[in-house]
Amino acid sequence: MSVPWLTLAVLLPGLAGVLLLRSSLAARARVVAVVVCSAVLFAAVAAARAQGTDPWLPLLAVDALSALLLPFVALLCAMLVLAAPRAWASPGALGRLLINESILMAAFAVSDLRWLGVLWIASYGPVVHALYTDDADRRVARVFLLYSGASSAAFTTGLLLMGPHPLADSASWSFFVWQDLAQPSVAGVALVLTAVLLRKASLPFHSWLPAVFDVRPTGPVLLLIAPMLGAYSLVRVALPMMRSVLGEHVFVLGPLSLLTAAYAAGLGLVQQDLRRLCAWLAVSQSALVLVGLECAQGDGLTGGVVVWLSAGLSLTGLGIAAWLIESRHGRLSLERHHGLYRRSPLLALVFLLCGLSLVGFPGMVGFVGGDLLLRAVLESFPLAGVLLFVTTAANGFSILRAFFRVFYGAPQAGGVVDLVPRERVALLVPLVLVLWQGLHPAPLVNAGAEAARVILLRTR
Amino acid sequence: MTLDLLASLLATSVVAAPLAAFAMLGLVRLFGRSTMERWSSRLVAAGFGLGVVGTVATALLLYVDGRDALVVHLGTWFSAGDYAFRVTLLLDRLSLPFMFLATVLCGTIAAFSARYLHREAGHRRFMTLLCLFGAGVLLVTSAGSFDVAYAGWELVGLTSALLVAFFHEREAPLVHGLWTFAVYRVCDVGLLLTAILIHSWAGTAEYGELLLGGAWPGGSTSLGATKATAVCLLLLFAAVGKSAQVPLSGWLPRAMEGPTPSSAIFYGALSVHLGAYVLLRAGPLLDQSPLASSLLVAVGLATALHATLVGRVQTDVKCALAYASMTQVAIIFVEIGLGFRFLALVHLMAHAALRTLQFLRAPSFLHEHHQLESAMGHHLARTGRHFERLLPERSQRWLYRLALERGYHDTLLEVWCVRPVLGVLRWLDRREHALVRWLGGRA
Repeated sequence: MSVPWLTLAVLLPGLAGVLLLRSSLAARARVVAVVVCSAVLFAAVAAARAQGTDPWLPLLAVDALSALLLPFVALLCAMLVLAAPRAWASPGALGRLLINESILMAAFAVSDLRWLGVLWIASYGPVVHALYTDDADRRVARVFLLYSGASSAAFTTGLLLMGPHPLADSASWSFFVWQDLAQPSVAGVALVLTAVLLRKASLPFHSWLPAVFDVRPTGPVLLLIAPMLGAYSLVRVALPMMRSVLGEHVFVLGPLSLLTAAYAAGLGLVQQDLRRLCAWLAVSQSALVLVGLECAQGDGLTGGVVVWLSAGLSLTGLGIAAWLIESRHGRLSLERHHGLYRRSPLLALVFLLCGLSLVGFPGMVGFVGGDLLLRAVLESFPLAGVLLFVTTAANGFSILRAFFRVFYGAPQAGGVVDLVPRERVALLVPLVLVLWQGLHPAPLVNAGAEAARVILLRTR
Repeated sequence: MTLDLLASLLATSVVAAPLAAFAMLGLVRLFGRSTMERWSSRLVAAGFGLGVVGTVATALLLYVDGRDALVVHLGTWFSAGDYAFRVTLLLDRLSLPFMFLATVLCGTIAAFSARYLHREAGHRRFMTLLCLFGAGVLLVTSAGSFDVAYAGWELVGLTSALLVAFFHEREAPLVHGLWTFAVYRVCDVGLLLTAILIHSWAGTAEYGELLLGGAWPGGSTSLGATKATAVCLLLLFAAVGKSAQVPLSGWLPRAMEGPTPSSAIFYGALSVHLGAYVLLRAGPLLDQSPLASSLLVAVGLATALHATLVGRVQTDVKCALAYASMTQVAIIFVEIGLGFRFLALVHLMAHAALRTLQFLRAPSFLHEHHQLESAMGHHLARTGRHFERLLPERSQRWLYRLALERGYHDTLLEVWCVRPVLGVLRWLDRREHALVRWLGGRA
């Protein structure tokens, strides 16, 4: 890598975010943010193509896994900035979103795992800030602080227990050599696994996510869950050690995540609020990524990586659609039909397609990851694997139920309030990606397989 | 151009044409544009028309070449490690007649609906969904593997639910659409699990490699009896849901909330027969499993008895036709279970064609009936009352009540399955809220 793409991708959004926080360019804030996000996306794609260590900041590096994730995170941020409702998108909010992007890009690009620990803690910052500064429910803020604090403490302690001397040079803490230099500590692995479960809202630490979704605008929360920093940290820190510490036949994450997926899918069936439904769908689908990551074979791992990207993208699309619906029509209960189809037909279509992709409908990218995952899971966890079928069936039903409740029913009075052009771009680009990758998934699956190969190579 | 290549291109075009029409209509909608009603109807009819031509030409080519079947490998959709999702079509004596039926009926429905739904608010939505449905049916029927069949099966399920809820401004179609989708979703697991298990046991889910030794309806399989039984039971579960057999038959009358053309094509002709079609395809597996075959016959007999009984007390023409369909499909199930596969195929095609006609004529049926009675000067003689006369009067009353309640199937499902499960889930949801309140302390 001869051009410092990574430095650019990490520092540019942070600097722009700070500038936006301090500026009074209210009218131009979104334009600035969109330009910055586009530049970051370009830099992330360039860095992913080049791979290797950054020439300016050797702390930053890209391998096959982060080559997939960096453009993915940049795309999610660009979608959020472009689609965020006008009422929310103040210079301050956009500035914080860009700073959040900078933190996430750094977390996915940094090779020194001590920095990953720092960024793990920092990535909770924007949501904590939002919960304590806005007029949100203080109880939820305290619950989130409790879970995020526990997760941060567990992760950093586990990292320190497994790693070399805390003050050792950066090369010793690099994920490239982690499998050779780290200590196979049972306590360390257990703490990191706990931290990951806390962060990914897996059973029994799942309760914070629906609560936070309930009280905060969807956008910033999506950035906390859709990129799946928890899964990434698992791959970098715990997965290389897990088999040597737990043995070949002890599986913790897979069965627990399957249970989480089925439990969340079940609770999704009885939700009477669109936001909470999105939250349970997020818990359910993102748990599947962990199932794939713990599958013994490479196919399952590939499926896990593909589900990671497809679920993240679809979830963001669905979340943004829900956010836009709320911004136009207020908080929506699923207890009755709202009849918004006539008023927002395109929004309805986007909501349905993103939802179907999330639950793995054929012809969409979610189907590809789901198919690979299903096969691997049935081989690795034959009995618990049945839960995956329950999850698939229940989540599909929940999506259609939500679609019917929100868009169908006696039509609401009023004119058409459909997507404006910038929202169309924000939602149609990922939608086209979801459809295109669903019909022509070979490049994505090959990239996922390459990432899986790298993960397996680094497993002790 | 070789004969094989030509036949492959033609066969592919049959599936691709409605998909292309769907893509065009869908993309136009996605980018916020609107198509003229006339053009969307013509586009859909043209897609299925091309399908009819492609099917007939493929059949002729195979006949001229003296071949029983043609396997078309369209390539690998995706692969990882040892696993590859290969897209394969199988054109033989089973798939070609059904594809012909599907393309002709879908094209007919498109032409019929152009007038029937003229200036209806959801005209273009109907046409778009009809294309997707047609593509799904054609994928299931032309599939060369359980994997490909599953993809089409899902498309059919989704479009069914969306078309049941077509008149979405009323409450009832939405409730019934969701119920239909729920039954489909649960039963689809059967086909999905079949595809995965067969892949795991036989190393392939392709019919050509799995079902060996001769053209349809012959053939055998290398799977052992136990595995074949497991697969057949799963397929039966999937087929029971899709073909509205006992005890999951309750969704069929509910599905009559959709517009008449979609009722005709879905529940009179194609969708309701897909379960039977998949079982016909799995014939060699059924031969290996007397248990599954017996169960198939039992399900068919029970459904036939149930449907003929319930059908007699229906007070609207579409529901009466739905139960008549259910009866015939049940008899087809019995025929398949007894091994009369060719008879089952002929029965299936004849029934689908007749029932489509009846459904399409249903809106004008009553009017014509009254006209006929006026012309004759008296009421027409009532028929179909022989079976119940043989029973004692008390049993007749009991059966009448049972039939009015449609065998209590949906009620039992709701009371024994749905409510307890939802009750537990709601209790868990309340506990979730309580946990957050407890952890968060005072507000």
